[in-house]
Amino acid sequence: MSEEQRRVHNRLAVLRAERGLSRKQVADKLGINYQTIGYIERGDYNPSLELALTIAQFFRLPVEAIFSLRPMVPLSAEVFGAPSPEGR
Amino acid sequence: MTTTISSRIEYLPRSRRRLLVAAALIGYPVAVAVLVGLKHTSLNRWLILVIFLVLMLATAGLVGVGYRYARGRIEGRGARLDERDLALRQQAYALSHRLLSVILIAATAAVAVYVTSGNTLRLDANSFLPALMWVVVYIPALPALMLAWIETDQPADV
Repeated sequence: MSEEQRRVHNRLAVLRAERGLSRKQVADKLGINYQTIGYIERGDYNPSLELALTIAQFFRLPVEAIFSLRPMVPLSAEVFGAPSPEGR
Repeated sequence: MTTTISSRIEYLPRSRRRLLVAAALIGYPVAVAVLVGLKHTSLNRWLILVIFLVLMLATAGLVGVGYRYARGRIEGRGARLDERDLALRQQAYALSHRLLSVILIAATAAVAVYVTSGNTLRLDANSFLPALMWVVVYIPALPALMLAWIETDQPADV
C-alpha cells in the first residue's frame, strides 16, 4: 500500500477553527497531547479507531464527516454544491 | 530560561535533531580514539585529559538534549502518554534494538576477522573499560536518541 493510499484525510483543522478552539483545548477535552492533534491535522499520524470515534463524538458528527480515505471535499462544496477552487 | 531551552529543543527541526543524535552517538568513540591517539604523542598529559573531558562533556550534553527532547516519553515517567506517544516509543525501542544488533554484529564480525587473520586478541582493562563505558552510556540513552531521530517536525503551535 502506497503512502498516499495509507493516509487518512481529515477535517479536524476546519472543525476546530469553526468552533474557535485551540489544539490544546481540543486535546484537553480528548485526554491526549496537543501535539497529537497537530500531527493528525497534518496527516502525519492516523488516529486509532477509538480516538477517531472519540473525536467524532466530541464534534457531534459522524466519523466519516471528519475522516476519510479519500481527500476531503471542502465543506462549502459538500453542503452547497459550490465547486472548490481545485475543481473537486 | 529552562522553559525557553525546553521549547527550543522540543521544536528543533528533524534534520538538526538527527545531526545532534549522530554527534551524540559518535561522541564517545571519537573521545576514546582521540585519547588513545594522543597518548602516544609528546603532548602534555593534562592537555590530553582536558581535550578528552571536553569531548566527553560535549557528548554528555548531546545525550542530555536527547533525553530532554524525549520528555519522559521513553520511561513514561512524569509524562501523560497518549496513543501516538506509545506508538512512537515502540518504534524508538524497535529502532534501538535494530541499531544495537547492527553494532554488535559488526563488532563480532570485526573481532572474528581479526582473530582468524592470525592475530591475538588481548582483553585487558584498557580495552574492556571503554567498551563497558559505551554500554553504560549509550544503552540507556539509545531509545531517547532514537525517538529524537524518528519523530517528524512538531506542528506549529496554533
